[in-house]
Amino acid sequence: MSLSLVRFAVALAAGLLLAPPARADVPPALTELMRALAGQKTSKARFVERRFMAMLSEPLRSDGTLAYTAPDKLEKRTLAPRLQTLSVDGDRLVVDPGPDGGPRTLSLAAQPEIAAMVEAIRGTLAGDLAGLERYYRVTLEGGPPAWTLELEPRGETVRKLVTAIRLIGKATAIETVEIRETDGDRTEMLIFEEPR
Amino acid sequence: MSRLAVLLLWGAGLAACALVIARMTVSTDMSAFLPRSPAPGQQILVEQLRSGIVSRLVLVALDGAPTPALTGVSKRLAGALAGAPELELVSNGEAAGLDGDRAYFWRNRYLLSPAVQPGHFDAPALRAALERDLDLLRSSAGALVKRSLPNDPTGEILALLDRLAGGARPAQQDGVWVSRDGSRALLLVQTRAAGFDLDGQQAALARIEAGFAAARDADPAARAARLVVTGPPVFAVRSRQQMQPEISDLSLLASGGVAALLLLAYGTWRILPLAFLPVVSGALAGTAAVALAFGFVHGITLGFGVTLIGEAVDYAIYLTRQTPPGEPTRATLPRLWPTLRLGVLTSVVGFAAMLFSSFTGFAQLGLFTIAGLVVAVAVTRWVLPVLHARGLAAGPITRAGDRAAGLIGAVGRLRWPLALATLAALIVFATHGGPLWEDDLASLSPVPRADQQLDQALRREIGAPDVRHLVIVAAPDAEAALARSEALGARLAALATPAGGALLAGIETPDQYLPSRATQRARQAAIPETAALQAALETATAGLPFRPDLFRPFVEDLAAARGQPLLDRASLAGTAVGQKLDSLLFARPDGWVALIALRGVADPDALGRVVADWRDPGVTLVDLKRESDQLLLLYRGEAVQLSAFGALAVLLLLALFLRPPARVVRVALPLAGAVVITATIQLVAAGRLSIFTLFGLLLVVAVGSNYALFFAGLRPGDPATGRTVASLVVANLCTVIGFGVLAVSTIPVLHGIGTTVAIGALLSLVLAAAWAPPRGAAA
Repeated sequence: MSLSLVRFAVALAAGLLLAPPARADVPPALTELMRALAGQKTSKARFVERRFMAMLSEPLRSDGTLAYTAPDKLEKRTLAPRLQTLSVDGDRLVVDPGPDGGPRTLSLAAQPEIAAMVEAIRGTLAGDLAGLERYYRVTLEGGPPAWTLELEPRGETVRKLVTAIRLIGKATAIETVEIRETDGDRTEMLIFEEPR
Repeated sequence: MSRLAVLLLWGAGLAACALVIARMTVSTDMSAFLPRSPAPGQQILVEQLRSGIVSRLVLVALDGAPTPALTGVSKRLAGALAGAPELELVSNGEAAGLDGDRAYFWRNRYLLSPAVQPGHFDAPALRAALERDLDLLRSSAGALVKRSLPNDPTGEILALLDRLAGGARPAQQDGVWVSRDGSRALLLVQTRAAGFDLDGQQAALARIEAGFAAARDADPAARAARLVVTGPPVFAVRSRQQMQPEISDLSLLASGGVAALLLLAYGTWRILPLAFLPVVSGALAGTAAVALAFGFVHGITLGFGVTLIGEAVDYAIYLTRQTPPGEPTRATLPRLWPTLRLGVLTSVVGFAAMLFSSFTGFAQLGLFTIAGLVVAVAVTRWVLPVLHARGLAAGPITRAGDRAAGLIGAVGRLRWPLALATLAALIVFATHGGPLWEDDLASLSPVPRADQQLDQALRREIGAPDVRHLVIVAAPDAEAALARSEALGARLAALATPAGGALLAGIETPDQYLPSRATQRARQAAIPETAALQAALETATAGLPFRPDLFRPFVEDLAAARGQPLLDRASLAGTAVGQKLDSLLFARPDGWVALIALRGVADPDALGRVVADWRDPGVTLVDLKRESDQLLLLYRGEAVQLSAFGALAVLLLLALFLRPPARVVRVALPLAGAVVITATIQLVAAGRLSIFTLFGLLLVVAVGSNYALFFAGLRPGDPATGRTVASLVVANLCTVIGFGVLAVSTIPVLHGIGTTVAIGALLSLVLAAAWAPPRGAAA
């Protein structure tokens, strides 16, 4: 695990930054964080996801594993309550609904809503600020040791569905992903990185 | 006949022709180039070319600016074009553009979904559907499906839209279609004008260009944006735009060249009206004859026909050039006429074979040429001597012509070397490896290859229909056609599964958009009454976390569907799906036709065998690409056959008229030699022969036979020899200039005919001179 050296002053400066970063003027803490994240080439984790929806009387729970390989491979394998795999490789999105049917291959570019969600996690893990900025206005709170990234969607299509995505992490590991939808529903994913 | 009578008769004839021409209809309908009794596939091919949905599809790409600017232009352009009278449909991927379609599918999902069958809404089936819904909500698509869930827990709309997309969906950014790499924004536009209405399609393209200019100028960031359009309407309009000026430029150049040569050869402008009168009279007569015999004249007949009777310019040259200066033209006639008559007869017999063509277009060309040549030679024989009583004074190059005559006499010594060259050409031709004929339609198309490739690339990006394989289903009425389409669709869909051999990837049927009434009724009958449904729903939701009453909209929608009026063609009015339905289900004079479009056919032969095994006379599998190739083969096969018949008829005619028989050899050998060498040159230069080469060779025979006849008729010591040869040289130069100019054309048909005739005519002259009687010209 390559945790780059963190300078206190930089973290402080980043914490003070409130305005959304313009492309030309990326706050040093964000650059620092992204560089640290980019340094990590693979990661594996378990996740527990809970989805809170107005139409349901209790949250939907699912769990499984996440695997990331730099720069753009991401696999989300849901193990319970039902096997389902979603894997992304570049622009290729493969949805394997498990025992219910065969895998389907889609182009990520043709599914802007899903692309936005995938990019939020993948772009963060890859430390790809430009990729993130394509879909979101990115705001950083905290600094490389303990940080919160607030992603506000730019695209109209996605803005209709999603208010914001918040990623909370320590060093190069994402610990929580929270998706707030426009109708008040929200999804919370807790991630436990496996030690290597 | 007095001179006045001749002129009056001629004038009356021209006036009559003009009258017929003023009232004739010119058609550009491709069906004139269909066989007279077309196979169903060919009929469909021509219908698709004329007015099918494919012939009206314009693919629009915007590039040259950053993606966000391009998507903005795309939105403004789509907004501006929506409702334009020239356009039937504009889509750029925005949901708004598909509102009508989505609404149609959403409102009528229970009548449209094939899943609606008895038992589909029973408790166990509902339970399974609801558990699937929970899985969906957990998945990354959860945010998307939850909105339709209360109305549609059984997921009919998802299945319908999925099938509608057909698997291939273009990439999207900012809600509009873009290319995978984001460098282009993409739109699909359908013109209202059918494929044969070029003016209408041109107006539609102009509308798109104007809309684009406005949409681009509205945003400074999009200033560099460029518009790229492609598709059949663009090709058709662009070909016309390119061909019209090119043809008129080249014709002007050719006419100018011929006129300059004539002026140079004769030294007087009076030659010009004389040279062109027979051709013009012939063209008018040919057009009128075709209009009278067929009721219409095809545009291609007009364009080609004038080229085919181009040899008539030579007639006037023979007459004027062979009359000694100052002497009466009439005095030349007795010597000239028998040869000229036989020359025209040869051409007429050669072209007469075309009259028997099974393609109306070919038959028209044959009649045009025959009538045109006969009238042209008649004008030369009777009218020109009246208008031009005495021979023209010797022009500045007459002496040069006489010298050329001497030179050509020397060619006689080259007889055997030329015969050897012919033999060598024959061997090269006969041993040519690989296919002899160019059978790829694309290479004969006036559309540049780069444009064809761009079109294919955009088509792939946007997933536009590339309709190639179709199943044609015939039925007495629309309802029966839909019912048969449903039954066949099920059998075809089975062939798409691995168990069925995976012969194809998928199908698109008209009943997907409008099921037969019987099927709609069956689906309504499969919907339970409200009380029963509610009970089933209660059982199914027990223990699941859905809030109570969540599915009330579902219960209400099903109740409405049970009682709703059945869908018909009117239900689809004004939607894109309605357009699609019209292209897949339409009336014919003898009944109705449903088309089933096949996607991704992996094994056309196996599929053909399966469909043939059904032994259903109302069902035909069609490969449009193969049909058009087949049609080209038919054209070419028939052209070869008719040319062979024509050649045989010409030989018989010569054998009948020419005495002694040795003269037949003198005429036939140079002609055959010119044809063989020209064909070989074309074959070696281009690698293949095209149907245009064949047309060119026909002209070579028509023109060359005149040369050969004149040379074969030369008598040793005849003082007229020099003038005859000079007239042939001038006539030949006219032909070489006229057609040589066409050879520089970028349009395959003009280039093919131009090179063939220019080379062939020159060779004909040289070979005819070589085979002339010994010492003929030198005397």
